[in-house]
Amino acid sequence: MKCDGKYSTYMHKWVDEEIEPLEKIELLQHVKSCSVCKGKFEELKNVDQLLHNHHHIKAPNGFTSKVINQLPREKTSSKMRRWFKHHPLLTAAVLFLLLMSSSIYSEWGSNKSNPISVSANGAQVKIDQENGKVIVPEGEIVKGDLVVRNGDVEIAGKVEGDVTVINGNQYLASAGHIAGESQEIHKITEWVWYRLKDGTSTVKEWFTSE
Amino acid sequence: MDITVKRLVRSVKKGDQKAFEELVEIYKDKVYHIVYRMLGNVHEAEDIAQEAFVRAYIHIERFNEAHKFSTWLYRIATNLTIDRIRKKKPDYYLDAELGGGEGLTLYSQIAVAEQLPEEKIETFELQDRIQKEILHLPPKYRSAITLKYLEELSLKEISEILQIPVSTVKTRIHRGREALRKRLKDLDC
Ligand SMILES: [Zn+2]
Repeated sequence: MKCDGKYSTYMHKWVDEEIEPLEKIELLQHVKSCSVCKGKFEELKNVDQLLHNHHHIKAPNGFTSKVINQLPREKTSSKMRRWFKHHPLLTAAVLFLLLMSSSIYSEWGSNKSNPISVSANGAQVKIDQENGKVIVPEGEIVKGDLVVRNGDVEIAGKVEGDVTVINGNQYLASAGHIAGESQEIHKITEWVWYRLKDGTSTVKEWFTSE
Repeated sequence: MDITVKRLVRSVKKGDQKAFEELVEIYKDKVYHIVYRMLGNVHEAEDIAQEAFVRAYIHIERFNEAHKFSTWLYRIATNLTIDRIRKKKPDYYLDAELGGGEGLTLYSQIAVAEQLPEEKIETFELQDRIQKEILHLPPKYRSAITLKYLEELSLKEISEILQIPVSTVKTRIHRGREALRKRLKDLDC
C-alpha cells in the first residue's frame, strides 16, 4: 500500500527541525501503525546523521601558501604601506636616513658661514651679515610669517604671523610683538620635523593614506 | 568575527595580500569542504578550492560589502565546482570509485593513515559510502545538500549563494536527501 506523500515531507521537516507540533503528532501516530514509513523514517535519520558527520573534511596542508603563490604580484606601493604600518619605529628610522641623505640634509647648514636667508613676506628687514643677524626695525610690520635661516633675529617691530628661526636665536625687543607662534630650530631632527610639517614631502602621505 | 572579515576585505581591496592570506586561513576548510563534497576527489577538490580563492582575490572589487563575504566566496566555489562537474566525462567517476586502491577518497585515506580501531573504520566506511552516493546526485542537489550540512548556514544564506528562492532550496534538500536514503537502502540489502 502507498502512503500519503505528506508523511515523507513531515520526515524531512523533522530532521530539519522545522516540523509543526501537530504534524509531529500525526507523523508519530502514523509510523506506529505503518512499518514501511517507520523504516523510511529510521533510514532518513541515519542519512541525516551521516551527512552531519564530516569533522575530517579539512583543507590539506600547505593550502594557504599554494593559494598565495598563485596570486598576481602585489603592487609595491601597498606592500610598502603595509610595512610602514606594521613597523612604525623602523619607519621613523628609515625616514630619518632617507631625509638625511636627501636634499633636506643639504639644505641644512650647521655652521654660520652659510649665508643668511630671510623670508619676510615683503617687509623691509635689515640684514646684518657681519653679525649674522636679521633685524625687524621698530615700526616695521611683517604682514605674515617670518622665516630666518642661518642667523639670529631681533624683533623690534611687529610680526603678524609665525616666527621661525632655523639655526639661530630669536630676540624679542621690548617694543617688538609676535602675533603668531615662534620657534627656534637648532637640530637636524627638528629641521626634519619642520620640513615634514611643512607638507613639502610626500613621505607624509605614506602615513595618512592608510 | 564579521568586523575582522570586513576589515580584511577592505585591505584586500587596497591590494594587501597579507590580509587575503588571513581570509584564506579563515575560510579554507569550509571552501574545501564544499568542493570536496561535490567532487569527491581530493586532488580535484584542492585544485578547484584554490582556484576559488584566486578568483575571489582577482575579482574582489566586484564584491559588494553590503553582503556577507562568505556568501560571495561560497558562490564562486559552488559555481566553479558545478562547471567542473559538467565538463567531466561521465565515466570518470566510475573509474575513481572502482579504483579504491588508489586511496582517492578522503575517509579511506584517513583510515589508513591513522590506523583506526574496527568500529571507527566502519563509521568511515559509511561516510565514504554517503560521499560516493552524493556523487550520483545531479549537481543542483549536490550543492543544496552540501551547503545545508556545512554548519551555520541558514536557508536564506543558501538561497543567496545558489541564487534560487528559499522554497527551491528546501525542495532540493528534500529530494536530494530522499535519493540518498533510497540509494543507501539498496546497498544495505
Ligand atoms: Zn506509511
